[in-house]
Parts: sequence; structure tokens; C-alpha cells
Amino acid sequence: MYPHERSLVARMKDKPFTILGVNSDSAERYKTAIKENEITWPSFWDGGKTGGPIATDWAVRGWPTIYILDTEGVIRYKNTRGKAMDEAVDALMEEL
Amino acid sequence: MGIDSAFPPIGENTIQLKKSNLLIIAKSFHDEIPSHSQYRIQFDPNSLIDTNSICLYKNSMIRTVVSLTFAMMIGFLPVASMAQDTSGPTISEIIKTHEDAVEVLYEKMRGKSREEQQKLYKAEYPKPDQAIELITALVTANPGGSASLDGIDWLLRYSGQKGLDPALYKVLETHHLHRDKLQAIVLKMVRSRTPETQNFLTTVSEKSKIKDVRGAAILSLMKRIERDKEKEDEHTALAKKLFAEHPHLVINGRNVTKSIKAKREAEEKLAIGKVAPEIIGKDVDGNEMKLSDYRGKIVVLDFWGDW
Repeated sequence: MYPHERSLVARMKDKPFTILGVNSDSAERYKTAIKENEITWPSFWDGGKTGGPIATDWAVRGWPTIYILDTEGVIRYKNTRGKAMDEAVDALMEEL
Repeated sequence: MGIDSAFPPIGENTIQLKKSNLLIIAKSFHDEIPSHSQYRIQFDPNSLIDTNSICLYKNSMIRTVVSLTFAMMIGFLPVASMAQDTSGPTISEIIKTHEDAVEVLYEKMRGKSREEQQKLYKAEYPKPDQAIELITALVTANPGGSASLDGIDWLLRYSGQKGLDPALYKVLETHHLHRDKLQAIVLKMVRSRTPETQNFLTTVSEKSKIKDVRGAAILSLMKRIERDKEKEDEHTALAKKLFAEHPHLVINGRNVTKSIKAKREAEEKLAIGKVAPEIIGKDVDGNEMKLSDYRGKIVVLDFWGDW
């Protein structure tokens, strides 16, 4: 997960792109995780549990759950991972 | 094979068959047996010896089940004395015998390693085939009794994708359509993929006089196709029917209509092509942040945890 995300972030540096997390860990664990895994992108902190308010609003049942939004905030892909995630982001970038 | 021709009558109420070491005996008929309930069972003589049970026939119809002893089966003992015996196992006794055997296996598995447990389960799980045949026969022989509902309820556990014996849907429709207990049964009909199951559930959803049974049938019809992308329209139509006709369908103390509605609304809001709902929250240090702050950027929204 992390290495792939790091490389995607690195590749999209200087482009209109971000990973935006919604994190379900305890505050302490979250802070350790971002340090140890060089997580540079921002995250909402959802209260330290998987059933937090944001995850509940978004009816998240599986973790991780991923949505890819275009620059207008429209949901364009769901649960696209790995290579497919790269391709999805590239395709959205093409549209710009 | 036609029972009439193959099994010559011995007495007025009994017939004897000498084939594969089987005795098949028929006694007087029961009024409740519908004439379409022709039923054939291929008995495995070995398994018969295990259970000491056999179905009674006459003129292709099942009367009841009697116990037979090993000696009777292989010895072709006089039938007349046995013909008096109608005290065969009941549906609940057959179920209990099977469940007890399962329990014995579970007891044996207790404390063993996972691998050993799997091996034991695979090798020794009591085959339900015999019980399925006997119960199917008993239900068909006495379709109107409440024991027949219990029997079908149990049969559903082993029916899987193939569904029930088609004759049993007829039994349910003819004798149990307007019973409360049918609800538990239709709720178990979600795995079977046969058109018979589909037709039966549709009939129940339209014709049962018990409202909550109709609602449960709609629910099962929905569940059967909820993962089938090609049947989304059908699913939506059923959902609409459920919301309109059964807004407060309660199953196991839970308003299922309400929760299905909430789930569908959430899914619609979060469908591909919809503008993502706003998120207003905080980062771990308590600083406010919003999803809309990132408009103009492609966003990979990642619900994650460091597990």
C-alpha cells in the first residue's frame, strides 16, 4: 500500500493531485504510522475507530475503501487499486 | 419403473418386493395423499441397513415410513406382521438423529487442530442424503401437517443452489401459503438459483394472506439477485414494491425495510458520476479540513488504517 501510494504521489508531484485519507486509527497510532511510512499526504482523523462519523456517512464496510474524484469532485472510480489506480489517475489527468 | 407392475400385491394392504434385498410394504392409504404425489426412491441397500428405515408404497404412493430390522431386510420375513407397524420415525426424530450425529462429530473435533478438524469434517460429516429422502417422503405423504413445514425448513439447510425438490414447492403453496411459519422458510430461499424457487417466491409475494410473509418473499427475491449486475432493474423494482407495501417489515426485531432504504440511499449518493458528498472534519491535531478544499485536484480518497 504505502510504497505504491508514495510512488504515485511522487509521480504526480507538481500536478493537481492529492491522496486524501480518512484514517481510522487511534491518534497515537496514526502519528506513528505517518512517521514510519513517510506519509506526506493529509488525512481526516475519524475519531480513532472504523465506525467513525465520516466512514459511517460514506457507508464504508471494507477497509481500505477508495474513491477517485475528478477535479470537479465527481466520483469517477471506486475501489480501484494498484496499477488500475495509476491508470485511473492518468486518465483523469488526460482530461485536464 | 412402475411400482404397480414391478411390485405384485401380496395382500390387500401389503406388497412385497424381492429386489436388492429390499422389502417394500404398503398399507392402507391416507386421504391426504394427493394423486400427483408419485414418488420413487432408489434405495441403497447398504444405507438401508444403517437406518433400518424404508418407505412404504402402494400404487406409487407413499403411505408412511416403518422401521425395518436388518434381519427383515435380508431375510424377507413375513410381511403380515410388519404391516401392523406404522410407528416409523417421525420428521422430528429423523432430524434429531441427524443432528445428534453432527453433534457427535463436533464433539470429536473439539480441541483438535484446525487441520485435523477440517479433515474430520470432510471425512465424517454425516451424509444427510438418507434423511433428506425420508423427510421428503414424509412431507409428501402428509403435506398438510405442521411437521411438514419443520421438515421443509430443515431440508432447506441442505438444498443449496439446487433448491428443494420441486414437489415441495407445490406442498408449500397448496398447504402452507397462509401460515406465519412460512416466513422463516421463504427467508431461507436465497441461495437456490432454480426457476422453481423464483416462481414460488413470486407466488408467495403476491398471494399469501399474511402480509409479513409476502414481505419476506420480496426480501428473498431481492437477496437472490443483489449481486447480479444484470438484474439491477429487477432489484430496483422489487425494492420499490417493498418500500411501498411493507414500509415496516420487521424481522428479528429489526426494521429491514428501513435499513435497506438507508443503504440504497447511501449507495445512490455515492454512485459513480455523483458529486461526492462534502466531508467536514478535522485532522489529527484538530485543525478543520473539508473535502471541497481540494476542488481543482484529482483526489484519491482513501479510507485507511495502519493495521
